[in-house]
Amino acid sequence: MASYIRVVKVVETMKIIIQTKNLSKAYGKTQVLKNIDMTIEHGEFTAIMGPSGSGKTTLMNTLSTIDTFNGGDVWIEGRSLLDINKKDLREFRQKRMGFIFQDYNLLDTLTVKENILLPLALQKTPVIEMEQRLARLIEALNIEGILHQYPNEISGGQKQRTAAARAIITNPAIVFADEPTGALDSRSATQLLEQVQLLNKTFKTTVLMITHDPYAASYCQRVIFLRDGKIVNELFKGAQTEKEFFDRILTIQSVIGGEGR
Amino acid sequence: MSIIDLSWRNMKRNFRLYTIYFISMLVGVIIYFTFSGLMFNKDVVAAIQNKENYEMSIFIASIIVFLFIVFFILYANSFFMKQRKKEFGMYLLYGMKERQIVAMVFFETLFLSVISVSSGILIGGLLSKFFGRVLMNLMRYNDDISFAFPLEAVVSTVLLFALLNGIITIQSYFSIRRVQLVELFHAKGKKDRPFTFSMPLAILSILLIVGSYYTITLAGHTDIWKNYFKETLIATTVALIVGTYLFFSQFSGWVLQKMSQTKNYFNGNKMLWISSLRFSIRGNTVNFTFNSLISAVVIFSVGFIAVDYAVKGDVVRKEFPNHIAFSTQEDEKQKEIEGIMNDSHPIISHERITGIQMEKIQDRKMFWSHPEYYTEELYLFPESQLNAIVDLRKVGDKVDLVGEEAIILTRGIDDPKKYKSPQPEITVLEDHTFRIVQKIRYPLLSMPTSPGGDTDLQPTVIIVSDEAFTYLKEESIVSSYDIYEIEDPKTSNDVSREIYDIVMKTDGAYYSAFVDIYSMDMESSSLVLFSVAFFAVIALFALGSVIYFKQLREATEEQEHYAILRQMGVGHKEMKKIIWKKLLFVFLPPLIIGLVHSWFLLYYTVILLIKDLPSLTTIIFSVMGLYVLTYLIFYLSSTSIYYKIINEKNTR
Repeated sequence: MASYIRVVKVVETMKIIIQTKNLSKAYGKTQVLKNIDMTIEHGEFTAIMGPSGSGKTTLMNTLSTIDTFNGGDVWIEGRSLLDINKKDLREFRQKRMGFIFQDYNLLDTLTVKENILLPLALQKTPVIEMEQRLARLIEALNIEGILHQYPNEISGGQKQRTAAARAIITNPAIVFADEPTGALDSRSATQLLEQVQLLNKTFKTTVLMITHDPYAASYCQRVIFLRDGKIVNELFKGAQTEKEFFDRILTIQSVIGGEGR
Repeated sequence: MSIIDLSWRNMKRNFRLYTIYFISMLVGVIIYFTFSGLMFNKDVVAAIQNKENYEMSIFIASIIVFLFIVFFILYANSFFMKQRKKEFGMYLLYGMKERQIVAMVFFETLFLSVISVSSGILIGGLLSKFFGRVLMNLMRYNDDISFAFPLEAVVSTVLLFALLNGIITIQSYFSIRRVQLVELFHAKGKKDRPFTFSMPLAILSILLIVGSYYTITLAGHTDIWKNYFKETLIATTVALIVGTYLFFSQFSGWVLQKMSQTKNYFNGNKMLWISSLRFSIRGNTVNFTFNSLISAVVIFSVGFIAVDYAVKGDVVRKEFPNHIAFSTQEDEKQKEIEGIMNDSHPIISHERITGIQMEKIQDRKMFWSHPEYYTEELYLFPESQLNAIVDLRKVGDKVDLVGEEAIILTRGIDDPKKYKSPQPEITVLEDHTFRIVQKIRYPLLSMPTSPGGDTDLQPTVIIVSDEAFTYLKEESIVSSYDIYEIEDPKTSNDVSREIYDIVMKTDGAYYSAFVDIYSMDMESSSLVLFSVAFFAVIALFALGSVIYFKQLREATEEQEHYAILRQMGVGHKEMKKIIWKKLLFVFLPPLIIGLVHSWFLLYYTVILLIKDLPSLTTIIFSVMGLYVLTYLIFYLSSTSIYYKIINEKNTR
């Protein structure tokens, strides 16, 4: 419990979670990311949008340390990725980052509860603490009834909520969500987005979401538009409703997306 | 791009998968060639005394070896085909004909066969020196065996593997025909939830196994096995089989289920391998049951045969203690014979014994439990000559008889016995009565032999006191025998043959030589032991490989799981740990069950009966050691390949 409180304090004092400067990445001669400068602050719910090939997945992979970059630098919680060795990177990823994927990536031999607790188990967290952390998420994500079921017995929406719970149970500095609503029907998608929004508000979880869906993006506080490896626009929701924000996103997207393809 | 070209590319691309398959084939060729190489090895054949017998047994053995190899390689191939289902499906999707795919598989198998047969023959030829040496050692010959590649063995290996190639192609054809295109577009079989296991059945499995062990331990000291042999045997066997089956289907699952309910379950990577094992129990039960039971039987038979081999030399030494013994010859011939012996196997000591030969007596059953194994005519020898032979052999106890006392000499099948008063009486030479004080197991004159290994009835011998013998000698026919101890009697085959020819020129002459029986028994039991040990190695290897291939298939199915874990930041070390633990729980239970089963079978049936034999434990433990080693190799190899498979990029 003590360590948990400490982590929360650390997160709160460190306002900037991710900062990039001149971030560039090339596969051979193809430049995928070009001089990206961006900052993600603690508690932000950000979406990255862009047509396919715009480099949004590469950007996320680079930020989440799964992939390397060729130019510039990335700081996560103030630490430059260039200074961290491979083993520490992995540990960093395990402890400070959470992931939600389009195809859920749940282990089908584990129950919902086991899937959620897996990251903590691997970090050898005491069982009492595991249960406490789980208890706080159960209500927010509405997963009480399915805790002892296996992934193949539950719906896609339930699977994605399980994946969301697994991603934030470690109290990560940031949660990366890669097209989380991609495989869901619209009702389940709305439900999930509302819940992620709720988690973001209640637990101040920083979320970076990749999506091509303007509807999903409209739940975020901020949308970054990417095209040909460059940031081409940025929108803030501010006091707008989801509907108003959605319309603005659509407008911007039609401008960028129209000439991008 | 031609089909041959495509096959060649496949092999280069799928190198690891082909390597496993290639090694299976290579092992098969090596084993088979070693075996058939021995059959035609000139050095080995030259050393063997009973050539027909040898060729026949090796021939039968090599057929059994080949059948094992067929089983083993077909299994490897079916694994291989299943792994490539997706690839075949893609070819079908792109419009390739089934026949073309079969042709492609045929060429691939042909490439593999050509490489494995040629390198297998090379390795097998080099190994033949070693295995020939082992066989010669077992037979206790000192002949040197050179490297050999007998043409007959090469031809038969090539032919049989060409045949195998055909069988593989047919098998491949059937498995390609079974490929459903739909499978390409559907996810693999879904796992819903693990089966629940019942505690009563889990406990029952332990009870059944312990119960059948207990019945086996009773073998020595209760009547249940004597009075109800068939019933007890069937009940024990059934209990052992059912118990083993339930052990793998219920007990192991129940233990895992219990483990998943402890608090500790959420600590570290435990839940990953435990849950994965719980899902795989159903698919492994039959496999594990079959494996541990057959392994136990295999080990038991090797132990049994090894014991037979180990005691054989001692049995022959006890039953045929005279290195060379024959009816006394004229002086000149006697000198000639001694000359023959001294040429190659110098005489250590020599004794001439003289006895009275008599007609048959009534009612031999009173004294001999199996009179049909003894000659009807009777030989009387004085105690002093028996004592002289005890001195000569340095084996046995001297006797001291007075007056009418007599001792009956028996062989292995008759138990020794001391008679208390009233001692039975035996009347010989019409009116001379002796009191039998005891029966001892001591062949003064062993069974007559011939260099081919044939034997005749054991001479019936009674030992009487010196004074009685001197008195009787006056009025009877006497005959004398010369008994020799020579150096290195085990290799005196040629000497025996020469002397036999000289002695047998006289009708009704007696001849007996230790080496005649020893070399024949040694050769046949060595061959049996050698072949059975070979079968055992292949059988254990083939059985282990079934578990091995199954694990590799599971690895392919679990690729996705490990990909998820990798994304979650689980490191290579941690993944290796998970695999090590998971596979340990896969390989260890069948191994332990197989070992304990075979131990109980061996200990109470064989070891307890012949426990005073020092070399016995060594033999049994080396068989078990080999079994453990096989599993260890499979365990180590499968963990490393498992790890490689899960790290492969999923191309789906």
